[in-house]
Amino acid sequence: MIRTDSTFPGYQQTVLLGGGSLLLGLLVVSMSTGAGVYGAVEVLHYLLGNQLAVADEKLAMVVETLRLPRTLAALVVGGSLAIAASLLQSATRNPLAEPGLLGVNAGAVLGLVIGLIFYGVESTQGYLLWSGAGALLGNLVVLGIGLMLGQASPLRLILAGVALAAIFGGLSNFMLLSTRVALEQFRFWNLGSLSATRLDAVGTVTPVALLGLLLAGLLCRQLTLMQMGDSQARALGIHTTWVRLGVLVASTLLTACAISLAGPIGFVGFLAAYCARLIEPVSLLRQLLFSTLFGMLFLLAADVLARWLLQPFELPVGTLLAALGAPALIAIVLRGGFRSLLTVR
Amino acid sequence: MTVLSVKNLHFAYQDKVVLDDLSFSLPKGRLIGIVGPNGSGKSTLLKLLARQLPIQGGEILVHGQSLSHYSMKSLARQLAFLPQRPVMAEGIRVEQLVQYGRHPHQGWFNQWSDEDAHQVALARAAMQLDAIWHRQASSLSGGQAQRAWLGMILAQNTDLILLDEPTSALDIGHQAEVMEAVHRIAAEGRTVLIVIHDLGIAARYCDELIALGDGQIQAMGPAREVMTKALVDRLYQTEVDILPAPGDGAPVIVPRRRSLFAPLPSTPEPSVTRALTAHESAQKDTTQ
Amino acid sequence: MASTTPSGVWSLRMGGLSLLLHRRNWLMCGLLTFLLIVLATLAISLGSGQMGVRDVIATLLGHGSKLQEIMVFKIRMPRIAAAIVAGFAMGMAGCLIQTLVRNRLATPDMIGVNEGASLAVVSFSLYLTLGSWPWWASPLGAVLAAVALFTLCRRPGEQGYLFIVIGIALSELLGAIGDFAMSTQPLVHLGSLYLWTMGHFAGVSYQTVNPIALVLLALCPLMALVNRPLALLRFGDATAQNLGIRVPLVQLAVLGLAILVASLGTAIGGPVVFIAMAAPILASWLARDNLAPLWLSALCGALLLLGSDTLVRVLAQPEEIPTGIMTRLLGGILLLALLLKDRRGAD
Repeated sequence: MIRTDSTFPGYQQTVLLGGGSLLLGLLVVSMSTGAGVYGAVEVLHYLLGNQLAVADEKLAMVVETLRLPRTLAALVVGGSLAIAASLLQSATRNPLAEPGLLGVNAGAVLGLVIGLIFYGVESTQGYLLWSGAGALLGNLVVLGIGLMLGQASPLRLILAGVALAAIFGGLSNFMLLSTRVALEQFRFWNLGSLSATRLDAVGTVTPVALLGLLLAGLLCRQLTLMQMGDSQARALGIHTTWVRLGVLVASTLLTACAISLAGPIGFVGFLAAYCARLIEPVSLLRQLLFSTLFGMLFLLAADVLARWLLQPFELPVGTLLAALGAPALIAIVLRGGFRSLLTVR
Repeated sequence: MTVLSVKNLHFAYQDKVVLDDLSFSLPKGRLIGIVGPNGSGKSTLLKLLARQLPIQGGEILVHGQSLSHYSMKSLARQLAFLPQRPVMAEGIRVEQLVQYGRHPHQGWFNQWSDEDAHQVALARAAMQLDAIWHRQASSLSGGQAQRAWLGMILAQNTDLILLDEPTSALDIGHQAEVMEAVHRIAAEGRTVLIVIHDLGIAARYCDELIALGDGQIQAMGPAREVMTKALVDRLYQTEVDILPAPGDGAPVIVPRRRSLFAPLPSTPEPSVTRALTAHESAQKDTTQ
Repeated sequence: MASTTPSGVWSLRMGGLSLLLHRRNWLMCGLLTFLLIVLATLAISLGSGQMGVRDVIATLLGHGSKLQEIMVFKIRMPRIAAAIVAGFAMGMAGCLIQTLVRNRLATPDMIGVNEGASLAVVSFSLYLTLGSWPWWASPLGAVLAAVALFTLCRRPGEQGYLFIVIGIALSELLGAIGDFAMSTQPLVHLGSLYLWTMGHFAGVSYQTVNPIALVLLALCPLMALVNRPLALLRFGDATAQNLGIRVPLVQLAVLGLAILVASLGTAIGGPVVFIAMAAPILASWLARDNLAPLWLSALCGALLLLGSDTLVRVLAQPEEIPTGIMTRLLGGILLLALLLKDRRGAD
């Protein structure tokens, strides 16, 4: 079941090349779209350090404050959510798992709300810390429930996610409404958007995301073997508890990164991980690769679309993804019936 | 007197013909088993008779009247149908399950009558449910649960009873328990049509058998006449041995073991058959 | 020899007519009605304003002062009546759906019906300037969402959790659209609409409650009619049909009633989640052998909702916290507990 050769089969190479080119193309489009009249050429000059372009203050503002941060953030957030989803799907052996649907996002939001209301947190590091704490709680509960439910009923885990989202969401709303702190901004932020991203925030978050990515990569081999079941994996010498703890930490780091930058965004992780599994059903390491690629692609495309659709107004990217992702989920679940999704490796 | 009459029944799932020009009729007070290989249409036939599937071709007459003439409730008073894996509602007792069997005889303002009480009491006695009468239905063993279901069916007080594989999931002890109960029901004057896949059980308990194969009735009659080696071999595409059971001589059907490398032996290997008396070996030889 | 009446049942006979009443079920109904009255009286007396329980009872009997009468009849009662009526509706809707789908984790809340109702009301409120509160938009939105759901998933009783997953996706979709629509307006403009979308009973007037209560009352005979066949659906389609039930007709009627009633309950105070799930479960636990405890579920729903509303009013003084937040929190815990308790359940 584990490939020993290191070459990618033909169609995977095509997907990698195609996806990569598409990503580059989208990067260009993203940098050229949005408020402000500057097109791709001027932006390119600016990035290359062209003297004339750099001196233009307005251009600098548009690029550095508006477009560059959100483009980079889309990459970081999309990739993080996708990897987290792949990890969760693997660890819970549930093809619908992702931070959004399992209530982990809601947990991170709750952490952030507590930090905001009671500790007045403002810095990106603070955001990371508090949303990390919330995500940790969420992941802990989800993975614990996944263990307790076992293989008996994958769909029950989704219901558990709904329950968790209800509990965390209820608590968040309760606190916000009783103190009325930042309620106005929270309403918009809760929809998930890349519009308010700052470049320095991206800089702070990216190392943490890379750490999560690294940890995920290290866990791949063991997680792949754990697909056969815990007892078989342990017979092969795998410390299943440590692996699960690793998944806990990695998923928490990645979710915290995504939430800190863009607020709770659902469906992107699920879609990316699902497509990755279609391309590479076996090796988890390769799945992570494709998952990251697709996550970046989908989120960036959605962000561009969100900026373009209702010009000059902007749709929150989370809403757009819900509007596209939910029907996609329904179509997937209906077409294969649920059984087809249970080919998680 | 004919209780059920089937004429030229035809049924197809999409393009596959399952039942082809089937005709037969059943008298009162008999236990008739429907046997046949998987996919031969046994369950389909039963469902058509119970009007759980729409008729595509042919006619089904219950007490001389076409099936389509009956309303849902009046049909429920004529025939009772127990599906293969009946769903047990949680939280009810056996007593209540049996009482629900009276539903076709009740109405919005006529929810319990003396007749209802009488029939429930009869069903309780017939199925020997006293010991489990107040038990939770979901806590029963396989055999007990089936007897409880049969109690409900009996309370319905119909002339015709259709049972779809009531013994499939049961061990041999419970199988005997249920089949004894079913035989008693038929002996009391009802017509019971039962789908069975276990040939031995079918042969032992049923008055008559209908063997289905290729969408048609391959044979119909008393078990001893229907269960010939030739028929069973052809129907199930395998080799069997048929031995008479001690006591009543009912046919016992055992598949013949084959070795991969040796040609088909003309006599069974000694390790497969247990101690055969000379009489039985001789009889076996003549039925080959 | 068995007695002539089934055990645990009261039978009323008159001439050729007979009626059966599950003893435990109706005893519980009586008890819960009493508890409801007690809770309502308590709820009237609680909260800001100096009125003890005795004063409340006195005022109800007509011996209160002018001020007290205003407090009780104009300020407190409408809210309590609203919570009770909404609770009745949600409880009944939940019982209908859970029996139909044969799954006690099923609820009209999680399958997009609530979000559809909410979205419709929000849309009509925001983009059409209407005189009065468009409560009628709620059933409209709910029905549309339900139609969408059942077009996608034809056989809810046989497909179990597939139905719920599609419902969850649908609710995410509609919820996101609704949230977005509201985020385009500042809080000041939204006023009470924002709180309404989370399930809120303050300021609900008799103008909203009365027509809805009347419609519900008119539906009651239909409910009574459907109660017996509904109970038999618990045995699966095949056995129910064997006992003479016209299964497709009953399923359609039950579904239609459930959605209609749920949307009416939603129309009063907004989507209040989890009452429709919790009430029938509580009712089943109280009257174990009743397969479809409709009226008991309604009473449980009213008790749970009034209880949550009162709790929220007392806890969050003086701020107005929507009742729906409390039910969401408690309901989420209940759902989690149920999922873990029933671990061996199949898909």
